[in-house]
Amino acid sequence: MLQVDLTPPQEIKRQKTQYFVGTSTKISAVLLVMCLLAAGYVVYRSLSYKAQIFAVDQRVLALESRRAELSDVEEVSKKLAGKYFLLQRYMETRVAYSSVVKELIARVPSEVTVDDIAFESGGKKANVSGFSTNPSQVAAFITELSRSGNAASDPAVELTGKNAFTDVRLETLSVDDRKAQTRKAGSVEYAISFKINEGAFLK
Amino acid sequence: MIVIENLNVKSEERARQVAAGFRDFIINFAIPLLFLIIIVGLAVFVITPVYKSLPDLAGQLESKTVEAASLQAKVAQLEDLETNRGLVTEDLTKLSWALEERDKVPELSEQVRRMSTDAKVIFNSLSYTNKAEDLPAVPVAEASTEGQPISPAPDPALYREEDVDVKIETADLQKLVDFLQVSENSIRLFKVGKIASSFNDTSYETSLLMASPYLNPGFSVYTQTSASIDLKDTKYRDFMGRLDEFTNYAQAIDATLPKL
Repeated sequence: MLQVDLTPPQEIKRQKTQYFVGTSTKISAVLLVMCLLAAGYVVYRSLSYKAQIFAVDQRVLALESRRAELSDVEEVSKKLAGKYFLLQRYMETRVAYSSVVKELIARVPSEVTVDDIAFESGGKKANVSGFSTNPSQVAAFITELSRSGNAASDPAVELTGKNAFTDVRLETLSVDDRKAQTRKAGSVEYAISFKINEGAFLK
Repeated sequence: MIVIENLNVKSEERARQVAAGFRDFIINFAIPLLFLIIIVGLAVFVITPVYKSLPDLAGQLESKTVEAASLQAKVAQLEDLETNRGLVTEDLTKLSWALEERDKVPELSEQVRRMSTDAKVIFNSLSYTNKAEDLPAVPVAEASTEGQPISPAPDPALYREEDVDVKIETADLQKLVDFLQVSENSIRLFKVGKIASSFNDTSYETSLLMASPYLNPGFSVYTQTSASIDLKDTKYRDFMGRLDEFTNYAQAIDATLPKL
C-alpha cells in the first residue's frame, strides 16, 4: 500500500527545529548543571581553605601573643641553650690527659722508669724517656705501648679494640754501665716516641 | 524595466527570509545559547581561576599549619620552662660558672693553686701572658683518631681561651694523674694543651699549658640561633648531673653569682 506523507514541508521543518531546540536545551542544561556543580565544588574548596587559613592565622596570632608574654623566659632559654651546646661541644673535644697518663703508667714494666714525658695535643708526637735495667725491658715497654685495650686497672676510658698509643717508635737507646752505679733504675737509657690516640680519650 | 523590478523584489524577499530565519534561530536557541554563555563564563571566570588557586591555598594552609605547630611546640616548651623557672636559673648559673663571661685570670690562678692543694701536689708557679687582643682564641687543635678527625670542635668565634703555664712538683706520676683529674673535674673548664714532666732525683717537675674558655661577645648572636632546650632531655640532664659532680672552685674564690 502506498503511503503518502501529507505533512506540509514547513511543518516537518518546524518539528525538526523543535527537536533540535529541545535536545540542545536539554544538553546545555545538563552541562550547565554540571558546570554549576563543579563551580560550587571549587568555590566550596577555596572557601574551606580560606576558612582554615583564617583559623590557623588566628591561632598563630594567639600563640605569638603568648610567646611575647614569655619573652623573658625565651631569652633565658636561648642563653641556656647556647651555653649548653657550646659547653657540650667543648667538653666532647677535651682529651682526658689524666687517663692518658694513667694508661701510660700502667704499661711501664717494673724494671723500667720513666723520667721524662712530653705530650702535646693536636695529634702531635709524644715522647717518653727514662732508664731500664736491660734492653729487653725497653722492648717490652714498646710492646705494651703498642697493644690495644686497657692496661689501667680502673680504666676511665674504654679502649677495647682500640689502641691508646700509635706509631710507637724507639728513638734512642744507649747502654752505659757507669750510670747503673748512680741510678737504681739501670744502665739502659731510652727514648720512645708515639702518638696519643686522642679520639679514644674523649669523655 | 519590469525585469529589473522583478529582480529587486526577489532579492528583498530573500533578505527578509534570511533575517526571519536568523530571528527564528535566535528565538529557538536562546536558552541553549544562554546556557552556553553561562557555562563559558563560569569556566573562564570562576572554575579555572578558583581551581588554579586551590594548590596555592593548600600550600599556604600547610605551611601555616606547620608554622603554627612549630610555634605551638615552642610555646609549650616556654610554658614548661616558665613552670620550671627555678631549675632554668639553677642550670644557667651552673653553665655560667663553667663558661665565664670574661677571662678572670687572677681567679684562674687562685683556682690552680687550690687544685694543686686538693691533688696534694706542690704548686711551683703560674704564668700568664695576654695573647693578641681582640682576636678570637683558637681552640686546642682538633685531635685525630689515627688520622681520622674526631667530633668537630666548637666554633672558636664563640669563645676565647686564656692559656696559663702551670708548674707543679709531684712525688710520682700518679700524683700528676690526680692533679689532671682534679682539673678535669673543675666546673670552670680546663683543656690541657701540653704536658712536660721531668724527674729530678726526688720528684717530677711538670709544666702544663692549660687553657680555660670564656665567652666571646659573638656568643650573644649565637644564642639567638641556637636550638631550643628540653629540660627533661636525658642527654641534657646527664650533662647537668655531670656538672654537679664538678668542684666549683670559682664560687669558693668569689661567691658572687656569675652574670646570667
